[in-house]
Amino acid sequence: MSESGLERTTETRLLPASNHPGAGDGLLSPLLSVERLEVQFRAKHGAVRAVNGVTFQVSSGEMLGLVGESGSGKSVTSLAIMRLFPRDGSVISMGRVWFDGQDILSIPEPAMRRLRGRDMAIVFQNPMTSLNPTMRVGLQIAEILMVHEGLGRRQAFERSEALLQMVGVPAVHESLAKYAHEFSGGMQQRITIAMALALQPRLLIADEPTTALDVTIQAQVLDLIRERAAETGMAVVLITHNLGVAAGLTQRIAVMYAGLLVEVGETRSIFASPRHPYTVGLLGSLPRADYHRVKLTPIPGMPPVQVEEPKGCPFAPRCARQISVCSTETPALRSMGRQVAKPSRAVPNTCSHLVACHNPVPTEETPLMPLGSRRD
Amino acid sequence: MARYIARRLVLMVIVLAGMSVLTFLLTHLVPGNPAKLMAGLHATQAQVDVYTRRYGLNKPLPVQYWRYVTGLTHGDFGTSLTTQRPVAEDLKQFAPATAELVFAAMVLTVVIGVPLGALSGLFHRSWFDHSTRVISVAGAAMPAFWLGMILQVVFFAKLGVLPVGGQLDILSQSPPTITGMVVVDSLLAGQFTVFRDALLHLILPAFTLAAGGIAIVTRMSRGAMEDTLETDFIRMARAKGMPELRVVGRHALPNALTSTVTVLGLQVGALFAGTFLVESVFTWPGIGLYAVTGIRDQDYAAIMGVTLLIAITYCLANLVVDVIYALMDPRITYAGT
Ligand SMILES: Nc1ncnc2c1ncn2[C@@H]1O[C@H](COP(=O)(O)OP(=O)(O)O)[C@@H](O)[C@H]1O
Ligand code: SF4
Ligand SMILES: [Mg+2]
Repeated sequence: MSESGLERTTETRLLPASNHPGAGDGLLSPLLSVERLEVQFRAKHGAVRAVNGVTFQVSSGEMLGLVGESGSGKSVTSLAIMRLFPRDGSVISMGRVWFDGQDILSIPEPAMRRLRGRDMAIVFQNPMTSLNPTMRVGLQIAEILMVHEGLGRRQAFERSEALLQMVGVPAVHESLAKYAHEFSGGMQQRITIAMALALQPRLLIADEPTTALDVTIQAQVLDLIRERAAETGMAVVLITHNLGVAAGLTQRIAVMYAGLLVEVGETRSIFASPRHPYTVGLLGSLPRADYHRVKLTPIPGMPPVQVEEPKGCPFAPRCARQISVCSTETPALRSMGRQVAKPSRAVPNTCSHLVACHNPVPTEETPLMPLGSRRD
Repeated sequence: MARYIARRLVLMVIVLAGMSVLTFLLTHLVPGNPAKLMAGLHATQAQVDVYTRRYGLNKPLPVQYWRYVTGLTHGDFGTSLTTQRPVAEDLKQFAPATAELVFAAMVLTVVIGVPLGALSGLFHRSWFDHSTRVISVAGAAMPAFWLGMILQVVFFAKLGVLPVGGQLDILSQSPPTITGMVVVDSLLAGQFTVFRDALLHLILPAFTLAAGGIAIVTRMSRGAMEDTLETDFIRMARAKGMPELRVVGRHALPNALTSTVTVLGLQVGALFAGTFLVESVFTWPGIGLYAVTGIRDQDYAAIMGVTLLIAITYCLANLVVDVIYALMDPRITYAGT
């Protein structure tokens, strides 16, 4: 936990920071704006509500951490942004996803296809399965340049070689002719990053890019992403279930639970004064330097699978701060600084600290106690 | 790779040796006296004894087997009791017709089964997928002789569009023997009317033989395609903005085919087994028909000759398939193990 300079946070101190202006501020409009996104999977008995109305923005040059336990809807959100669901009607996406002024959810498929890979790119969790096992990696990179840029084979492979060099794959020329299984996990993920960055996208979504990797490799891959983001000024959505990973890299963090955002704010603010009981719990299950040998204390319970219309706070069954209104009214995201007039309709400001909770944790309380032990 | 093939060949010899013992025992342990069959219904004991001695049928089984195996190493498969000719010569005469039939059935299996399956997987749960499934389940469930007879009734008796029986019309002149396969030989000789006739004769038996395999390969490649389309690397290809045609044709299909190829190897064995019935139904002059006659007449040498020939072909076909599989999937290496 960072200490100095982060004394008790007052919300006003965290308002407009010049490098990432918010949507409502009339400055730059964000590159990506997700508004009330809902995603449902149609199943035999009703629909699985994976995402239940998520709203957030990301600006160019910014790195946003999308954090939450496994199953909270992070990957589904990212697939909705890339519009990568099967188009057979089994998945329904509602709401708006604005990317550079276009509504991603409603543009025709050919236009969407041109955006993918060129303007928005994604890196998935498992590099081994993300690479085509029977196609040489050189072609897997080069085809992006050939399809989007119309480059010839020779040029495309030359550029691919340069891309591999950039992401730190050794022996680039020989590597072009190799297959995915001939590389280590870390190298494979570098290759998928090279694929994602081939056309200098303006938005990169990295969905748990290091979860499948050795601990020793994780930092290297994260460094690579940070480095490339800093150099190109692209916006990054870094998805992780580990707040610790997000801590060092992101400017802002959005905490997701059961398909909803429960807390959004500047990374410093989230760490200094987490207000949502779930965020506090997540922070509590972070390993800390002083007792890193101790087994982590996870938040007791599991995130629910939403089948019915959510009623009340989805975290209520696991929450120690539950009050009577929690089980009847779903809390809306509210600014902890200035109260927005109509919280449910408002597009949350990117710079304020927003929390969806009827009984938020007071700023004074120590954030590092896991929920479980508090209940005991 | 070369070492792998060599090892597989050694293994194959062992398999064949075991195979020969097994068939030898089976054919010699069934009740009945082939010498009596050969000598005829009204033969005297003396006549039967002549046959018994000539073919060594009075010797102990191990001796008979040893004689048979040493003969094999010289390409001597023994003498057929029914045709009174060396089995090797019989096989040489009948094998090409079977090769032609099996090869044609294999081609049908691949060119019908793989695209049908791939398209069903691509458009899964569509009307196309559902009708393909119904047809392929029916195809797999229908016995070959039954299907063969239905096809004969429909296309020969009712519609009169396809011929039935043998490789050629009685009025057609056989082309000069080069490969022994009538379709190929007529083409090589430039006799196009004969070629057309041979091809028409081939369609029904080949399809009858292939039907079960088409059904299996269709369902296998459907599953392979469906599974492949759900993999991360397909999602990745889409995320890279690849056109759907490229996603399916260049990314999904080669990976789906890899797993289908292994099924084709097993299919070779099923096709040979099928020739026994199909050749009988269509009086196709191949080793299947030869073997069926041999079984009826307790013609040991003929049965064993056919069995060994099929076993060798089956082993070789599977070796070829494994090599193709290795070439298609770079993850497979044959070093070491
Ligand atoms: N293809 C699918 N069909 C049905 N439910 C799905 C599908 N994909 C994800 N889900 C459900 O959506 C929820 C969110 O999943 P996901 O976004 O993958 O979580 P995570 O935050 O771990 O990335 C989970 O409950 C999951 O079971
Ligand atoms: S709304 Fe109530 S139940 Fe939900 S997190 Fe806040 S206090 Fe807990
Ligand atoms: Mg995920």
